[in-house]
Amino acid sequence: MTRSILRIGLGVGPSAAPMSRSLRGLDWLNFFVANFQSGFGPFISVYLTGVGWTQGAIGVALSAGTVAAMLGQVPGGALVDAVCSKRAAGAAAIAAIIASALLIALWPALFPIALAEILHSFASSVLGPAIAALSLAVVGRGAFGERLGRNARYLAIGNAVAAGLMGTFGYYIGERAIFLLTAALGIPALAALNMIHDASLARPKLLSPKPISAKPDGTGRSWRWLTDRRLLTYCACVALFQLANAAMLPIAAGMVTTRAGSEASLVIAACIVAPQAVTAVISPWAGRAAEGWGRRPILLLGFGALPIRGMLFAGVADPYLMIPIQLLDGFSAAALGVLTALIIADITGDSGHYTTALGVVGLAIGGGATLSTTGAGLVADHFGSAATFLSLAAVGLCAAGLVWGLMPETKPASDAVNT
Amino acid sequence: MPRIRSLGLSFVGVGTIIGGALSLGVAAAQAPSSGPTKQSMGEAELKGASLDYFPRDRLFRILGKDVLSAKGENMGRIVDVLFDETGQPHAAVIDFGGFLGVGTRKIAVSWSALRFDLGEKKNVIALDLGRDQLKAAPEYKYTGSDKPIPVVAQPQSAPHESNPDSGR
Repeated sequence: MTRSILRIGLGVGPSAAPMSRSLRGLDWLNFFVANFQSGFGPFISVYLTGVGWTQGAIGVALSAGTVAAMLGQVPGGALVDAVCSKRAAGAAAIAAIIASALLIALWPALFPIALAEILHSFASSVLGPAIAALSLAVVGRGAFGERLGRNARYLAIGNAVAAGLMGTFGYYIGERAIFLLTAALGIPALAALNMIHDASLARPKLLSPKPISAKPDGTGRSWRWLTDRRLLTYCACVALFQLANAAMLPIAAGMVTTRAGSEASLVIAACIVAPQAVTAVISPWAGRAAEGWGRRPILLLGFGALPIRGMLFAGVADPYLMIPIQLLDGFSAAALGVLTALIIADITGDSGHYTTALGVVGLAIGGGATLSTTGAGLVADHFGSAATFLSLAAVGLCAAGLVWGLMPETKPASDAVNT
Repeated sequence: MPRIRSLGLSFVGVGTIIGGALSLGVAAAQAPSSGPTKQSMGEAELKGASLDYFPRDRLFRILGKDVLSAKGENMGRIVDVLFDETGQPHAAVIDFGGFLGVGTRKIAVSWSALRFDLGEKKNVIALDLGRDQLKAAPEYKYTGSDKPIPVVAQPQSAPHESNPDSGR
């Protein structure tokens, strides 16, 4: 790993020292940012239950967040495209997430919580694209896959550490402390962001829209990516993937609760943390392989793991076996975590709409995930959990088939990609 | 405009009647209890309703309260209370199990299996059912189904020993 940093550091950047500092900054940024994502997941309903909220009110607040997350994806990405400094966009998003975590911890009433959820959703839809754009600006196109692999590695490590910290804090100190911890971890996230040389300012051609005046007809060439068949196909692939994927862990965890004894919570914790370890180990390899062999093989690996996971869940009754099956999720997370940002960079090229396109994909991912829990819940009510896993596996197989049959290789033909 | 005003007037009337009935009911129900302290307040302010003050340790919220089994296992939190047509609580819905909210299941348990008289421990409620008795129970769902509601109760044979503290 160290070798590869040095190579990038000596090979590309303006000078070695600031470059390696930027790369370390990106590592730590991804590590600390992971905590923001897990800090607002299903856990917030546990916290709100603990402060005496009714289920209906919790549903309203969480729905506000879900709707905002969907509505925010494309505008969030477009915002990152529009601003010159991607680092400033990231800093503003982190500040907003700190504010929303404090709001949740200190003022658990309906309006502030709904506001915090909306703020957090919109900030997240800015933060992800901002980190991708900043990474691209720092390392350039040639080393982007490898960089995304490292981003995914540190995000996974951060996710695992965050789950452990949250479990510990929640158990020994109280659930409010978790949101205070989340807010506090925003400070090192900002510090890590500050370590990164804001290369986006030096590469306006790579990451910002071309002047509108260059396209008097209004339908400028730079928007052609929006109807690019590869983008639409990829959106369909990831939407189907999430439709099959998002409900799988919650349903499997529910089965663990039903079948395991007092250790059920630990088994579920292992189901959450173990795949992160797989992602952390293989992501850098996935990034390098995507640059070497191309995007398609890695994509097929990630999509292929999903239907296998669904079928294994359907056939296994022992709650402990859920942990090794869930390891397959680590392969999918690594592949999609690295390849989404990479493929979209391939497709949008130098149109200047990189993060807007990332927002479009984010919308497809969010739509699939939202439908997944609802749909799987309906199937589970009527036909039981084995049938639900088989249905999810079938959808996952369709997603993999779509990648196999329709998704073209997006890796630029020539290896002499300039940065 | 006149219609709106008449509606408003009728609401005031209904409100007064309900308020009066409520104050009578509350006074009748609480007459034998020695706990609450009556404090005289201007009748005009409360429109004839009576006002009682209870000691802090006499009344408590129930939503979000932790439920412990007899063995001290954490069984989850109360997220809802189900009433029957006589207005009596019949079951409590507990958010059971899971880790950080992943894998939790809502399970309805019989109200008679809950104990509220734990003496010193005011913040927890005890349940006469263990983890192993609850974990395989069918999930409680409020919406989206007209199936019967599954409620877990303790075995009929189990003696319901009275707590010496309960008559307080």
